[in-house]
Amino acid sequence: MLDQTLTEQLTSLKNGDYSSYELTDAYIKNIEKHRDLNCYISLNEKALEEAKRADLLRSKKEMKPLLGIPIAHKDIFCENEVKTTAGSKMLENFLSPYDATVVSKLREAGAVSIGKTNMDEFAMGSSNETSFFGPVKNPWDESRVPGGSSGGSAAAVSARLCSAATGTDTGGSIRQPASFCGITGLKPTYGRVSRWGMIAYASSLDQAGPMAISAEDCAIILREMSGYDEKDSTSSKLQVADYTSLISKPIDRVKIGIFRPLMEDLDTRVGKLLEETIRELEKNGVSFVEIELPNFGFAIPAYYVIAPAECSANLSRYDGVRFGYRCDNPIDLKDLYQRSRTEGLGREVKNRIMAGTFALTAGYYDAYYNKAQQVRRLIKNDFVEAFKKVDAIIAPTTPSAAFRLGEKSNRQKEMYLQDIYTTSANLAGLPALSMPAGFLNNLPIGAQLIGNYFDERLILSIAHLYQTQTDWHLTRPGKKE
Amino acid sequence: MTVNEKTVKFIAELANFRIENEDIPGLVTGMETILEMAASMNEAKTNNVLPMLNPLDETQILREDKAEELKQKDKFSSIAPETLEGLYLVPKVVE
Repeated sequence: MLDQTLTEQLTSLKNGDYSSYELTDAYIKNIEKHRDLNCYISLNEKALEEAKRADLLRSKKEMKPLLGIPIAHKDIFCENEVKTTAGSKMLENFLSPYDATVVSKLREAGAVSIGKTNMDEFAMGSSNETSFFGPVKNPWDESRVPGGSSGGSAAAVSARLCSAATGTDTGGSIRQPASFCGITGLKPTYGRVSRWGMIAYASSLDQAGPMAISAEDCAIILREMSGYDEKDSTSSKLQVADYTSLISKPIDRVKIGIFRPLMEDLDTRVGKLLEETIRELEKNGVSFVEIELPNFGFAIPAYYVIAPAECSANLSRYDGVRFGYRCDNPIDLKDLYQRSRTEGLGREVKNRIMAGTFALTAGYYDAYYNKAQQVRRLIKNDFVEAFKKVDAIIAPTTPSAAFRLGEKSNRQKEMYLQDIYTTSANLAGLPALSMPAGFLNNLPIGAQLIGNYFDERLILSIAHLYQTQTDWHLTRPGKKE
Repeated sequence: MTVNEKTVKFIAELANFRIENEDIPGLVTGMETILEMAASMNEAKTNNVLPMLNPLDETQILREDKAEELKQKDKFSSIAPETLEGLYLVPKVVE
């Protein structure tokens, strides 16, 4: 049953091939077996009870879209009276007083919450090595990183330690680990999913999304987690499409844009895989045209001003007073603030808060923050122009396959450049997904599809079409020939 | 952009961090890496370009001015590092 996709599991549960209790129990046993991967920060002790309740509802024919499916939540989503750490010492003992909207929506859809997954501290990282709870190992090669910041979620799906997981993506944090772990991950349009109860990193970029084996699985979860939420005024009132029923509909005359300079700068082996992905889609009636994205190269610098600036404001709430870590024996209020923050936050988080604080200081605001926001508009305008000609855009997700643990942890700039192909979708607010597109030296690598605003349906349909013709997404660690 | 010890100390003060002398070189490098990358934005032609604050350029949704306070004082107190009779405790501010 653990080899099945979420979609197949729903059918098996419906047919009575096994119960939710058996499925959840099988995952818990597999989690125990793969504890060394360090995918989870905490497990839900009530997961089996929840599964039993799901089985009871099923026996009473009280059906729900995700009834009895064990889903893991990135430990950035608040879950009522459950430890929610954001991968930080600052929140090591934080028991959330409420549910994130994503958590409550998936629970209402019948999902079993199996546990909270490891992540880079406050989602700041591309390798999961900044987590206070230690790095996650890539199930394909345990000497390598799973990517980040949603590395625990990606590795858990890949190693079959849950049916699917939630993640968040501020600059590539769903798509890059999805690529490194050989799974499908989608960052929706900004505003498609409520950010309520999702611990903030950079509020104008953060977006929650599904991580699963297939595009079809992602479609089901996305449908359930999306929608307007009065608690998040940036969430959209636009009606949520039924991605699940639309995904299999034929996609006619779809035109995908390629920005050639991206392919030219790429490692030739990654480029070759992307070309093969393009050829596979062409065989299935998709056409490709070249597009221009003249300001694409400014995405990383703009991102590394805007995200730190927003994080410096968002993380000012961690002061040791109302919740979170407090230093021992503070001598006065200033000492309490300063030592609680210094001791409670890790190096990378401090680097970003410092850079962001600098970018927002009088005298530098225009040169950095304002400039970055102007660049952001240029990037968005490029995409708006491109989408007048094409329906979606294809790009690499990552410059390479997963790198070794420790390889880049002291090479800050190289680590930041991991996000080179992903940040532009966050800056523009566009939906984008990564789907498994092949292997490099037995390590999975993804291809990225960027869609137009609120057109998650189309990129999911293209990925689904690709996945009906290929089986990269079904290959699991340890089972590849 | 060159970051020096003075800048790091000033920014650390603003960001409410206590930094020791041995932390300074690491923080200088950390900040410089980010700011050097940011400098490449100078090549972008941004004259008369309106800064973009929200990806969807939407205006803030205004809610009805109605109190919807949930009584969760005990719950929130229970997760605080130190409280007394429902109040958050901090070191004495006024002598």
